[in-house]
Amino acid sequence: MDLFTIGFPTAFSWVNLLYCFLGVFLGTFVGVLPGISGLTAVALLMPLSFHLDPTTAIIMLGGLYYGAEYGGSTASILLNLPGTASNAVTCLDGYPMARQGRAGPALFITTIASFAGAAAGTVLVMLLAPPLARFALAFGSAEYFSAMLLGLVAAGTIGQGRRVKSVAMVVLGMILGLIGIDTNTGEFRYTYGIANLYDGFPIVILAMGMFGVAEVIASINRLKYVTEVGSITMRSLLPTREDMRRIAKPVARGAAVGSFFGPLPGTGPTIASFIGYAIEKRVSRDPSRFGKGAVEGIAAPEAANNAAAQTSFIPTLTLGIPGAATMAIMLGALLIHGIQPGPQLIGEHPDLFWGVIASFWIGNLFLLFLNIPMIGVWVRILHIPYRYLYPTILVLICIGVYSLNNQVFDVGLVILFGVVGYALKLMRFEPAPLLIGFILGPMVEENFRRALVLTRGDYLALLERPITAGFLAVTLILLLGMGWSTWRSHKRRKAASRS
Amino acid sequence: MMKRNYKDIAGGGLFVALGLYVFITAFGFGIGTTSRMGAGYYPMVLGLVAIILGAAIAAIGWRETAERPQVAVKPLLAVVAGLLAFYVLVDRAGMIPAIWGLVGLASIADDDITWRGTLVLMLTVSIAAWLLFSALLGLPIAGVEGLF
Repeated sequence: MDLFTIGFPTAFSWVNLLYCFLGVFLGTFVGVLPGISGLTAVALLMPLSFHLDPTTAIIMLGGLYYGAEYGGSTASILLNLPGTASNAVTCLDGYPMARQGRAGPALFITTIASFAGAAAGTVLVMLLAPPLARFALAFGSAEYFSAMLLGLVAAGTIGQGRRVKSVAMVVLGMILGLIGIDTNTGEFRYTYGIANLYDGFPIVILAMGMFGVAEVIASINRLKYVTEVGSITMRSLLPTREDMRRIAKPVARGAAVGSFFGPLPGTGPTIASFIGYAIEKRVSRDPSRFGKGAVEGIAAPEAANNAAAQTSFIPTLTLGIPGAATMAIMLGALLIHGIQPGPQLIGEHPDLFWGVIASFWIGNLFLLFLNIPMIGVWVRILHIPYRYLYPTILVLICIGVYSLNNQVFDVGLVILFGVVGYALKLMRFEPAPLLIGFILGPMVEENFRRALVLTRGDYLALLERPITAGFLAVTLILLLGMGWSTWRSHKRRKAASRS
Repeated sequence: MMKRNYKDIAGGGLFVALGLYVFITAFGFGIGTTSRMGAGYYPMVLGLVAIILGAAIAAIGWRETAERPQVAVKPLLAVVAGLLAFYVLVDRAGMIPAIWGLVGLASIADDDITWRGTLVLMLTVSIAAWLLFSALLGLPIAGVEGLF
């Protein structure tokens, strides 16, 4: 087993252990705090990871990502404010439990469910990633183009907003991705003679502006923490035997749902948690208990979002195609370290792949420890007022972006994207699909044009490749499905407004 | 009086405008043919898609009603002013003065913060940031330009 011969020895080096702990610790920290998403945190720390070894960098950024999934439920339960989007559904039953004086057991259950979900997800990554990578080794430009196109279209289904608007955001990301030299012809596109734009700009800048700055502007004066969250003692954490009996099956179902939706492009932890909740409500013998403090309603979504967080690494590490916005940033981090994520990754950098997987196990054990005995610390963190937090976040954004190239120009871009991002937020356009469009857009163009060169411009020859044809067929079905559901909801709304 | 969904009308309109710009400028890069694409072919397609999507969003918005968005004017202006202060100061005066400008101006956005709280925050954040980034991590940014 490569996990034991390569993975754990890599992950158990002092440096990697330290950064794994740092990642999950900071992940829990930002997860607990409403108003900073895991994505912003990953973007913030990415510049700092440049001077690290690539394996260490991904171990830390990964820990940040899945650590935030643990922390996010704390604020959902205690304050009815989700720490991150994928914990929003945990508010529905977590907050009622806290109002009934059962905040302790709720926090305990979400941590246990998170760990179970993450463990199931990690096992799946270990089982699926190597064969998937071997399968993908046969991919040529045509296959990549079609797989990425599927990823782009699926990205349009992200989020709760209207589909057309999500698709438009994907296209906006692709348009921003045009900036820089065209790799096929050497033509400068949309650089306006600015030398800083000749190679395009890093995805972190876009993420920090669209998420970081826009998030801060929208949260000021809105996020006022309740000061009386009370204190949680170890004794009050323990759930009853009845609770434990009730959550066993929901955790298993949640982990399965999360493992399924995690690797799919365009879904990820948030959607997995909502679907996990919906399933529990449907299979329950007494659905009326939901929304009033049902333990199943916090166990299933927390297992689902953590399973999805781990399994979303599968397409990123094996195909180089990010399924979620955070994974797009992770991919950017690998590229900056000179590592091309794709099917060759496991073979060429086994220490990176297996080291990161081993760090998932270690990191999740850290998280179990951080979230059960140390829960009191995190509860106290909720007392930090946002008015002291947001100027600090802005400082971290500025220094992080400046340190990318020591160019103040990059800070200017962040300001621009922050204002644009806030405007888009006001108009209810979701920024997550934009990041996926930005990272996949240039890859789609490059692979498509290369594939056309290979077939000498023959489009039908592309369809003769079975894998390509398969991906394109799924893409088409997805597009038709989206069109159909938009048309149907439009008709329904029309009928409702008439009556 | 019916209130249209101005969010979507404006958003869709912006997408149409951006799409038009990209579509038109794409021809300057050389379109090529469908089987032998030039540098402008793909931007041209993207521009066209943006126009269609923007028009669809605006058209749907025109036929439905929605509340107007509330712009958080003070946070927007204060945060942008703070970021601009950092932009202007970091190369000329160094990291610490840039952080003072950023924190001082951005703090105006909050309704509850006191000027004493702002001062304490300016001092602690600037010193902590200098210690972490310059002293510990060795980023090549001067604390105060010309001094350290």
